[in-house]
Amino acid sequence: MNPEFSPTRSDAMRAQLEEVVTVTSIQSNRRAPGWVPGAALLVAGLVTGGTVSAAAVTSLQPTSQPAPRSGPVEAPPGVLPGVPIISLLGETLSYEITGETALDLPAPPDGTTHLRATVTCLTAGPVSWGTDPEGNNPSLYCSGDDVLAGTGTAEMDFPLGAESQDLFAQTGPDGRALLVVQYVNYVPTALGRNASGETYGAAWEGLEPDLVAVMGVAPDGSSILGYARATDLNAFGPDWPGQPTSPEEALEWQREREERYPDGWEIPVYAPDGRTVLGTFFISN
Amino acid sequence: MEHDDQALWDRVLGGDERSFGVLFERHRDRVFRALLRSNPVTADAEDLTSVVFLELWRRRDSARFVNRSVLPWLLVTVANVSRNASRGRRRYERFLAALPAPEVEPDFAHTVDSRLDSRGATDALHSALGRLTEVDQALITLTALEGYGLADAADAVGVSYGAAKTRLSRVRRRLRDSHPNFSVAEAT
Repeated sequence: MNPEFSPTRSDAMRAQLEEVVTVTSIQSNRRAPGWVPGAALLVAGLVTGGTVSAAAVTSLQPTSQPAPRSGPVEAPPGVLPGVPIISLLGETLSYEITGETALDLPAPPDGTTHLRATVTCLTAGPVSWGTDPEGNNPSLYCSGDDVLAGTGTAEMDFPLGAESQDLFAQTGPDGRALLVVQYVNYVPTALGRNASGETYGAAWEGLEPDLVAVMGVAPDGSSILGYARATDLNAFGPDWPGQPTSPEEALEWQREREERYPDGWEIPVYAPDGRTVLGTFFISN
Repeated sequence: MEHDDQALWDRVLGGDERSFGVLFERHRDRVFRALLRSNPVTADAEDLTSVVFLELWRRRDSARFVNRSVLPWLLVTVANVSRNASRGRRRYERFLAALPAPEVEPDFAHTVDSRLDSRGATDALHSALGRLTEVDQALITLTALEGYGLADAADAVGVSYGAAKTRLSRVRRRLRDSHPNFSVAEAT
């Protein structure tokens, strides 16, 4: 049996969609740099397991980082500027969870900034895990094949703060999962700076480099890691460097943009020097 | 079987919101199943289904109909929405927040796509598709996974038949080189 659309949610969705048509009031939100944490996660390798829902993980990234215990250091070779250097602290702890569980964790060692929690499904079904007691945590869905092949696994680092020291997990009824917990230390790395004085690196939480790390497309069609200019990423469109200042202007710009660029547009991807073009990054309309 | 969506759509553009609801119910399941391929959490695929229909409304001036059906356009949008899932969610976060919370229910017979014989094959396919350009990804999805002919897929994506044929040929060659186990059928 395939997953079925929840009738309750479908009815609510239909009603809301009809309301949207009625009031024609979809707002043109300011384009947020959504690719930035994605690129940073990709490089840092924080997410494993192909079955993790990208939507679930990216939409539930912790929204704040604890104050780092040390200042930014220069990114060593192989580390994208802006991406923290991560050290493991103490021992790994394993817990088997079933149903709704609040884990009783030992006190974190000195230097701990984050809690790394790796979940592995032991039965097919959903599992969520994280530091939000209300349950607004990342989730993973495992099929029977995932359980047999050992591919139903995912890893997340959660920042620890005064109000987020505990770990909560939930499986479906009768579901079981293994949770491996490790305290870690994050040392932030500084953004790079090129000869023109522009900063470059990953737009990790709170960082706003002039040149933002992205995965673009090289002329031969292959993926390439490079940097897009933040002003290009944040522009409303190729012909609008800024953002609209009123709802009327937003609607007008949006109409023009959809007419001129119905499928989206490309922006250049540069080397760290901000001059050498390596490829392009596509922004859908 | 394709539906005649054009007449309904004309009514939607005339302000008939109920016709939009009919379109939603008509294509909801195909869109949902296509989303499940890359968003295996049921509630996420449900949320993104609404994002696809919100995109249809937002981009109502440029939506393409193929043989009077909007389904190919919706399936192309599925690929774009999946690729930019986090952005889509942010764009419509108020809409999504107003939906009823998902029920957490185990679904032990979760089969994302019966045509792919294992999760591993699905992941490898996602990985291979993720490296294609947006247009190529849409073409291969429509022809190889959704069963459309090349002419319809080209129409839905907005490229000429010849360009679509060239692109697909290049994609097939690339997939064959990088993933020898995949067999991608020729579209007609």
